[in-house]
Amino acid sequence: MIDSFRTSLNSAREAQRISRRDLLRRGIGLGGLAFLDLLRRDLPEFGSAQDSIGVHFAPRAKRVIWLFMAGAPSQFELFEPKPTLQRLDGQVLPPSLSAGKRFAFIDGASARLLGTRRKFVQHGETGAPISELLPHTAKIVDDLCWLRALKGQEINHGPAKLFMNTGFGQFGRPSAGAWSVYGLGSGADDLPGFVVLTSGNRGPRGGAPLWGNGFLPTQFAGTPFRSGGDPVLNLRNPKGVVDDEQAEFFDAVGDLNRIASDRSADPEIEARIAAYELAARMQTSTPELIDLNREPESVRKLYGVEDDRPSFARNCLLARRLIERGSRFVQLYHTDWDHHGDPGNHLGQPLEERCREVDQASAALVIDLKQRGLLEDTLVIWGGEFGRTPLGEVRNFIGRDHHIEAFTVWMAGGGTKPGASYGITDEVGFGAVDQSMDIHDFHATILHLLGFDHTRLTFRFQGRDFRLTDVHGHVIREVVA
Amino acid sequence: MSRLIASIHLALATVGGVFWLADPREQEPIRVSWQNEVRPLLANKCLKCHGPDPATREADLRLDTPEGLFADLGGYQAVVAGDPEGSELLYRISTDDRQDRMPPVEHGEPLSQVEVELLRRWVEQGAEWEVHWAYAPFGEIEIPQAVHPVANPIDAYVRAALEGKGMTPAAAADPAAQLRRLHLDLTGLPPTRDELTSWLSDPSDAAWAARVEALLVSPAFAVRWARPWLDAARYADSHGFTIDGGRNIWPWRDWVVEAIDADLPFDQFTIEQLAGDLLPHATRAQRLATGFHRNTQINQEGGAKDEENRVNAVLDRVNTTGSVWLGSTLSCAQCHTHKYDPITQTEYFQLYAFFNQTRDSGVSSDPSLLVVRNENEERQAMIWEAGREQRRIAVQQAHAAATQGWSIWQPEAWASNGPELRPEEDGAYRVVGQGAIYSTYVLQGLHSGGLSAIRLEALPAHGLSGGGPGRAANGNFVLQQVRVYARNAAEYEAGDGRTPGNDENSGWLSLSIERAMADFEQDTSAEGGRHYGIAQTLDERPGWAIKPGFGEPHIACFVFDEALPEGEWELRIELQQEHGDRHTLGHFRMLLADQKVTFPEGEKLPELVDPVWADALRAAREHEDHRPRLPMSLVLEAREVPRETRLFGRGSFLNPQEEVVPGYPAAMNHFAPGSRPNDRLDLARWLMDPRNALVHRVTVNRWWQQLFGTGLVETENDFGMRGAQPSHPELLDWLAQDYIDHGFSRKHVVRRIVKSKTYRQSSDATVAEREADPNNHWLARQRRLRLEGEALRDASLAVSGLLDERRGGGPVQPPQPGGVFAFTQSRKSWKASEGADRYRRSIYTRIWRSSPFPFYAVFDAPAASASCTRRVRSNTPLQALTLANDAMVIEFASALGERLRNEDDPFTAAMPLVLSRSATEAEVARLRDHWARVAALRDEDAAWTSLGRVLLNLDEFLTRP
Repeated sequence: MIDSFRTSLNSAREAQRISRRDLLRRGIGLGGLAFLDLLRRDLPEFGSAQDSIGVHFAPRAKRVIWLFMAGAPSQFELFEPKPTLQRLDGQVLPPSLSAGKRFAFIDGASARLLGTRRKFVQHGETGAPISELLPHTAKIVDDLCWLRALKGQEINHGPAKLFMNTGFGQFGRPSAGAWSVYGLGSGADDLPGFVVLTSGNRGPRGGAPLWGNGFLPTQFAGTPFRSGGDPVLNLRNPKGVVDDEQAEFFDAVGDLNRIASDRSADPEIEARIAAYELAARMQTSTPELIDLNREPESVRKLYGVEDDRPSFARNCLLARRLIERGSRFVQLYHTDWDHHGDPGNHLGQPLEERCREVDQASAALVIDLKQRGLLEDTLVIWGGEFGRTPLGEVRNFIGRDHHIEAFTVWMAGGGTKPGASYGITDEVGFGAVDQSMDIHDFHATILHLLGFDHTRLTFRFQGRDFRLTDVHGHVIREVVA
Repeated sequence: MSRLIASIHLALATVGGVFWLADPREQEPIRVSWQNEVRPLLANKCLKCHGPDPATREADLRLDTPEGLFADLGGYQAVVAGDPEGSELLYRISTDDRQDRMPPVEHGEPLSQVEVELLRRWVEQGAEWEVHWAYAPFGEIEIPQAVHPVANPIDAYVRAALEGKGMTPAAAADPAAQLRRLHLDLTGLPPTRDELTSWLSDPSDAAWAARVEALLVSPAFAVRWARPWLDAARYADSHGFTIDGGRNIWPWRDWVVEAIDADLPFDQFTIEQLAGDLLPHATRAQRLATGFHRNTQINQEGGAKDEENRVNAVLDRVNTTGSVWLGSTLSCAQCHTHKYDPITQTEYFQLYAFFNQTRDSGVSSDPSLLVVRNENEERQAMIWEAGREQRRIAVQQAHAAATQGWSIWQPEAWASNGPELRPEEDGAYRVVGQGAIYSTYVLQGLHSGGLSAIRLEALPAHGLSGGGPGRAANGNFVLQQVRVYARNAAEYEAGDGRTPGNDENSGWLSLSIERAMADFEQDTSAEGGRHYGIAQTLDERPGWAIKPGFGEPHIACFVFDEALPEGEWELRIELQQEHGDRHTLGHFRMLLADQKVTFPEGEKLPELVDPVWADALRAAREHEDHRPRLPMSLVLEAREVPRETRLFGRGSFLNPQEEVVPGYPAAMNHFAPGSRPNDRLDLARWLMDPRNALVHRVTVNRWWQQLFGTGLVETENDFGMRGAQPSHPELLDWLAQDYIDHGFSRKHVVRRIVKSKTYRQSSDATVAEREADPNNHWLARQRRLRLEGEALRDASLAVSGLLDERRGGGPVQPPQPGGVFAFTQSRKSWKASEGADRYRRSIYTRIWRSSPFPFYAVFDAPAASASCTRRVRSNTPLQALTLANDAMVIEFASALGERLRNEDDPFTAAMPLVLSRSATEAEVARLRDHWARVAALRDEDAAWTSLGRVLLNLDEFLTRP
């Protein structure tokens, strides 16, 4: 038989490749440890040597839980009461505001302003207004940091979600989660550093590229858990296989893959080796992780986890368990917030249902993290890919169109300033009059909280140093504690 | 300086695909290309407000057509060829004046200096404008002469480009790797050891060519190549949505496999799938082929609206056709004219009009076609179908004869406060969906002529309990009241929303009914029940019912006191049925009499039901009960009565606007302007016109993608303005024309490609080479590609000796882990197939849309909810867990272990069998060591299984070399 690969590699090439592999290894944790040596580590200390590319300064946040409301909830029904908008209900937008603006569906010249039908009360010491739809969120307002004039660039869901995640409206760039894990390391040896959980009727529009690795090495991509049934399958050894045999199996596969990797410079083999090492460790860590019955009844009640059915509440609790075990970045998608005014898709009952599905668990997550002392260094983000218009979109029911001029997101913990509010919009909430913040600024600020100068967290691709914020972005220090 | 360069890089990188400009040092005064540079820049920066969409167009200025660019704007022009100073565009993008600057401040960053300079040079050089490359006709072909002459034109194009870049192609891959690549690409299965040995003994070009031919005719080729087509067609064995009941459309899947096997020319392949039913003397196979567009989802939920779901299916057909054949995302244009691509909302609905003429509904499986396996079954099916057609005509004729003086009324608007009325082709309404237990049906629309009487036909139907005509459990209904209103159509706006009940000034006149009569009345007073006579519809009494006359037609006629005179009327007929318990009509038809009709005396007039018609109806229904017991498959069937198509305002079917007729998007139709197409067959033939360069480019690009991982146009589903440029435009055009010249043959194109040196190159690359061209844009090498889940399972079956290569038939169920179905709304049973069915090729695995087979899903198999023309290739720990622990893989491993156990030297034999190459000493040693350790921990049986398990988990096994 023949030898089917090239045997000679010059030494320079070899050296280059090994350094690359080391880089990859650093990103995913310990390489090549025997299976049985692996014990699940307790909450890992931040910045252990094997884990990170390295932060630029002391981080305020060591991990992120991003509650992504896919479809874009209406800020006017939830967070932004506007007396003038109420007063002008039914009137056309003043031309001073509508000139040159884009809408996805409505006609800016003839559409009518829509006052909200929801009641607002100011809550907490900070007096933040919250509508009747979010009674649980109302109780935690003093822990929240408000961004009230975020400004997007993309008017449709797919591109806008990509932009919110990758800083770019088309496929191909790494997501914020991938950048974070690339920068900070996984934090967990036995779980993916970046996990994606979904709830709602279907996955978010945009799919895997929203949590993709772009041009970063494959292992920085988000790992999506299953949304129905068991979140992760095949966690047990095959029937009859004892732990020692399982360990030897993973060792053998690893050893043989490494021999192959030494012959070929394909970084995908290294990624595969890393994936197998992680899989072996997940077998130990994950069954316990996903078993929410291990949580006390009181905690499950706090989140509103009622049964075993998939839900946003289960995902919030799972997210907390993930970050406790070292996952660095957990992103939850809850779908169906696109309330244009069609049947099943409007600001009446459908909005109420979405709010019921997320309100209690979102608040519970913040409360729970705080009680455990985790909120201090865990950044929680809550929001959609854009907001909705102050103009009504009257189809068969009442709704609002996509709006990118100014929308609202809240953050909590992770070094954000509790109770702060940044961004001032005009009297109908159409656009910012002060403190506008674009998505690059938003990303720059998140990276700042994580200990990075966003201009220096880069990856060289096609001869250029790319970054999450492209060539833009300013850290908004007003929201940093 | 470095900051500046970074921003220049960025600006150009965002332009998309203009890699060669990315280095600012290369700025020589070269000719600026409209196609590659100017157009993408305008598309990104300007076309949102100055593009094809009139609704968002500002200042009535359009920059994507020469008419717009060079239009006289009142003494000045956006662009004056050769005169940058006189071109308003250049002033606007470079001025500091915030009022004048474009794009406006609130729309984003100004153009960079480099971008402004690019536009300036383009204007200076004469502002040449060309049609978008993808929509342009094929140009003249000239195969480049590379420095090193090459035999295959593919290599000539690729090498010419490489030489231009100063890059060198990789060496040929190792012969064993070449063979493994070829086998996996063409058949989805690795070569056998005999095939490997034979090839290695003579790795000549002639032997390669022979191997290619052998694989092209092997049955496995079609199974492999059908898979991407099933992805594109969103094929699954269930209806989708939350109920996701099973469906029968696997015979269409078999049609695809057979068509690819026979190398059915792609034009015919397309025409039969889009419009096989419309071909003259369509064969059963051609009708079966139309299942392509029946892979749309069907909503079986209680509250599902038939028309809404039907519309969604038609929209999906338009979007899928756009993505599969036109390589274009049309769906944007459903709601508004496309912002970037030249497709108007009207043109979108012109495409919609082609697909809006089929019989299928949004909530049921009809129509389905009987599928036959032999002549005998064909005869059976034909006889039965001919009988059905005969009986349908007999019913129609008898009805026409029995209703002279009456005309069927199926007006523009119908409604009920509850279930949904579905208008049928024979003028009747079928009432579907759950809903209120009582209801009032309203028919409203225009009528020209007089009106002396109305006739209500309550019709039996399959699918109604008791056979109908009512929706009650026994088939009964109670018609409480009939109210008829009319108003002068000239004086009131039809359908103005004003009803007799809600507005005194609505103009409606109530027509008083003088006399009501029916063929039959329920009278159960003898058994302690009561009488439900037709006269009761005229007063406050309970109404008219028909027990026990279920499963047969019943007729009621209502004569007015005063006939409406001749005129243009808007009529409104209300059928109030508030008895409760779903005692409402399930299937009915309304007829009007213009002139006076004479009736015999009496209220009960059995003769209203014509016996010939009643017999014909009965015969037709009985015929349905004798359908041959053959498999069926969902198909498209054209309606006889055309359905009108209206553009939907903002894309919503609840907002119909002006009527549209079938037509082609003008920008894509340079070769047949002014054509007046009619039906799907016209559309299919237009798509396959040899001059339709766009479609043929899209097609060959997808096949290229199958063999290289990426197409020559990387955005294989976006050939529009924002898509990528082809890396090798001339090669793409040459391939497309070569394919047309060779009879639209898929196998010809595959043969061409796999015989090229470009295909047979090594996938290895140095780090520097990878970094220089990470996406292998210039094809200086091949690419290792992780196998799809289906191919991976097939390859595992093959090397473990379990594979059952039988083709065709209903779906099978390989074992899957527990915990998969836990939360689908209606629980499905997944009983793993036993015997050979367990080991069928993966294309035959049953696909539930709501719960796809987890092994394939974890390896990125698409959800069959929308057309997928390119799969993602991810690499996750979940894939590793699946391959390591899934019981199905362990079953393969055990068989592979057994197979090796019987070899003379199992550890040396393992890698040639599994990886198609010999092992190194280190590898053999590690395998032997593994076997020994597991044997020590457990026993020899376990050790052999574990040996197989390790082999099936190797990266090299999962990867096409």
